[in-house]
Amino acid sequence: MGKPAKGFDRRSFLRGAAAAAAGGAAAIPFVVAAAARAEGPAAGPEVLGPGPVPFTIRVNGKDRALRAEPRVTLLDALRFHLGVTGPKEVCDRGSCGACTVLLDGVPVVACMVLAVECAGREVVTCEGLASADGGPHALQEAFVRRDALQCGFCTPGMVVSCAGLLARNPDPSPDAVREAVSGNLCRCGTYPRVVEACREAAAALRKGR
Amino acid sequence: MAEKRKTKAGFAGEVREIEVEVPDDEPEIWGADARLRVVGTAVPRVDGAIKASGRATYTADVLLPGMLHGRMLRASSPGGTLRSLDLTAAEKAPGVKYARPVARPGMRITHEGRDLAFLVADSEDRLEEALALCRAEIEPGPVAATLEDAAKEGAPLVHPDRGSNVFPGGRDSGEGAFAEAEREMKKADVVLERTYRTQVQVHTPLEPHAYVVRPEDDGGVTVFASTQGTFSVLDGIAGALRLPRDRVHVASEFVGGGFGCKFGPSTPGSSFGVEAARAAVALNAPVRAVLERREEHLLGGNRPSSEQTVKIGLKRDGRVLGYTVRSRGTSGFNEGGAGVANPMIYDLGKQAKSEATVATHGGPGAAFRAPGHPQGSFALESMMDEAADAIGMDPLELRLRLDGNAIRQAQYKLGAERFGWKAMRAVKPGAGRGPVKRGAGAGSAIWYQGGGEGHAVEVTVHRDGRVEASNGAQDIGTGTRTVLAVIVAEVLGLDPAEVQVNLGRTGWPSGPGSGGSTTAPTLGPCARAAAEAARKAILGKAAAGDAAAWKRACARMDGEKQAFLGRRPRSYKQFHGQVAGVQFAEVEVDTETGVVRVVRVLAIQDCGRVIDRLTAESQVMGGVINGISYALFEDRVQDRKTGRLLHGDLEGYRIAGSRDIPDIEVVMFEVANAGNSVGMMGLGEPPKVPTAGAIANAVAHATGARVRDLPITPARVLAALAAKGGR
Repeated sequence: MGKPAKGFDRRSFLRGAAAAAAGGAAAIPFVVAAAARAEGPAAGPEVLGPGPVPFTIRVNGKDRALRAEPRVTLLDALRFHLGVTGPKEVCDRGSCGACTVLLDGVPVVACMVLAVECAGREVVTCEGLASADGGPHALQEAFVRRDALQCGFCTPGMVVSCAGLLARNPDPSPDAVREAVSGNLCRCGTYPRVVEACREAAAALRKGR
Repeated sequence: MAEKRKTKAGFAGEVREIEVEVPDDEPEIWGADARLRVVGTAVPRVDGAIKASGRATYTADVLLPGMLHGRMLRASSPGGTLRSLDLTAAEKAPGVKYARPVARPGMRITHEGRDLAFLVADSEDRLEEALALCRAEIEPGPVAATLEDAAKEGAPLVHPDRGSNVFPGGRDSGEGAFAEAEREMKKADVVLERTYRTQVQVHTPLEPHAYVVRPEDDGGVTVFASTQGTFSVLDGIAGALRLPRDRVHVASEFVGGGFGCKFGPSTPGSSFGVEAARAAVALNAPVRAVLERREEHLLGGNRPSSEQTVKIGLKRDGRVLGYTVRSRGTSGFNEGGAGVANPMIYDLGKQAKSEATVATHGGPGAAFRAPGHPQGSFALESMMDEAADAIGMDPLELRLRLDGNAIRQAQYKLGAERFGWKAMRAVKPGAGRGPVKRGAGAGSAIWYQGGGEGHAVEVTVHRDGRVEASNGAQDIGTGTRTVLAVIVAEVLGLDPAEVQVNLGRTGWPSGPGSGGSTTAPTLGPCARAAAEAARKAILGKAAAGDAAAWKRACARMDGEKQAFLGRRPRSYKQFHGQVAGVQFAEVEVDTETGVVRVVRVLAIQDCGRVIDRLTAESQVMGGVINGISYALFEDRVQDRKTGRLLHGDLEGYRIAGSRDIPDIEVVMFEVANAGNSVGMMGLGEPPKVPTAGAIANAVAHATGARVRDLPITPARVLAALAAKGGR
């Protein structure tokens, strides 16, 4: 910590992974797009950074333009560049689920995704979940009704993980909910009530509310 | 002026009239026979919606214009002495605004992560780069990372000036008492001596310790802090910066968990808050400083370990003649704080106890959800079962025989019936085909009725009928906001959602730190007193009606708003000063892999008067879940040679997840205790106490093999089975 280990940390690992992916596959639209602009095969992929680069992410239904260094994670971009603080930083290494967001509808931990990877893609955070009438989402209502939250710090991640589950399974069993939030740590001890709340919300949504 | 009043106290079938002395302006006491409209019902948490929306602003979420980022440079390993500290390269690095050494050459590095210097830069990334440019030369020295190593003759000393790592303290009854207990035990039919060990448990609040400090035009500061003691933060910052108290404002609207590790900024995990405040004043810019997860594990605090050698002598009929405990534990470099609550609860004949804290080169202990109790309870409850087995008595029968507390007596009986105790215990250990064995165990708990005078709640009534209740203390997730709303709503005839509760700003009336399960019972009766004063002023002699009647009355009041301050006196003579609880656990143990799965838990919890059923049950469930995590998973381990923490993260340091948690049945066992006008108590701590002991006893019942060390890992289960001679 006084002298952090040189040469290998999460950010440089992610940087490496991003570069590797850019060389081969089309998994990272922004970098691929940049590569497509490069002139001729000899030029190779354009190298981004280390300075800030401009790009746009669709966050909670709005296109948000930002300038960020390629090393900036989606979590830091949301929190520090865009002021969207529902996703929480707890571990910053993908082991607690507190920063879970939907990326093109799929739950991901925002601390393990680079912001540039999300260029042109759709991100939904807990703040962006809502019911058809614009009120709170059925999950958010059920979390309150069942008291599936205490300090509330894990809650935005829990809610988003549950939303991801309900998108693919409208009638989850208790075990299915437990599995869906198994990557979301809670220290106050809300798990049993998260299971109840998620299933109650699922029932409400099936009834069409 | 004091006066004597009669009130009904007790529980279930055991209610009786008792006389208490109260100040003559004390509200009518809500005794066992009080008929209440909202109190005791299931009221959704009043700040639930904002938390579930993701829009609640915690300290770590506070973003201010021009905000800078600060962090502590920390010693990368323990032991040795700081020789030099060179910050010049860091100071010149891009974006760096501030670098202040907080350690002097010659300082001993008592623990990994010890504060060396505080740096501020204009972004987190530049701050990280600057920290890497700091040069701290540390002359290495030997370390004592474990209790065993630190307690040895000739061990490297954590505090050389103290001459030893072992600090006797806490309760010590002296060798005479031990001799007397030993003499009694000579008359016993059975004498057992066993050693139980508990691990270091790290608080792990999900929101790390966090401070954001904004300098103000008057030379003071506003301190956003993730804390369970807003007023201790005020004291700490005002004291360190020599600012008058009225120039320091602390704000803590939402707190992402505390559990005992987030009091004032003088604790090792929070000292960076003082540095952030210094930097903010020096730079005249807001400074944000939030611990990283590894720092949180190193410095945030922990529940100290324990090693308890327990000896018991008893007769075949269950009468205990003598009981002794020799205990030692470590809370890292602290010199105290490793005491255990053992013995407790039972009539154990002649008792004797000695305890010591052993300093190691490790991070500091801190108060943690029932300090000393889960450790002591694990050893005591394990020994109760071992003693019962030795005399061939049902372990619950032995508890009924030795525990004189009428509330727990009723709880044991209620629990045994609900849990199906007799049928489960009729199964012999190891019985049944297949490798997975089932077992049931019980444990009991004691805590204390807390809360007291010295604080106040202000109820403000507006002409349009709006009602606010305000106090400067914090809600760390326990439900303080909600219980205050329920109490005020009850008195004024409103719905709890119609009462706005303001907490967590030191400009409001003073409140306690959230420790010892005292916040609710301190503030609840104050809120009641303030609301009663408001009711009298607004409604006069008319009884509280509904919201419409309230609005009509408010429209007639003088001025735009009126404020009423409510206080509470010291607790009255109580029906009982204890908090009693009993838990039952059922486990499955795979005797081939050693994996323990908790199948269900029944928690019967003395809860005084329930104010809000939802948040009260959540507290009990949370205590049980923390207890399961403590019993089976958590263990802070340092490298024995270097003293470095092996897992400053949430992968290696495992806390219980959703799939580790069984069905938990919570029975709120209401007791009118006649301690305050509301009859309420706090619930943060008591339900954490008995869980680990109940699980250990269930594992022993399932397998016939006893694990005496926490956590009960698969390896330990297999070792215990092997020692017993196989499954």
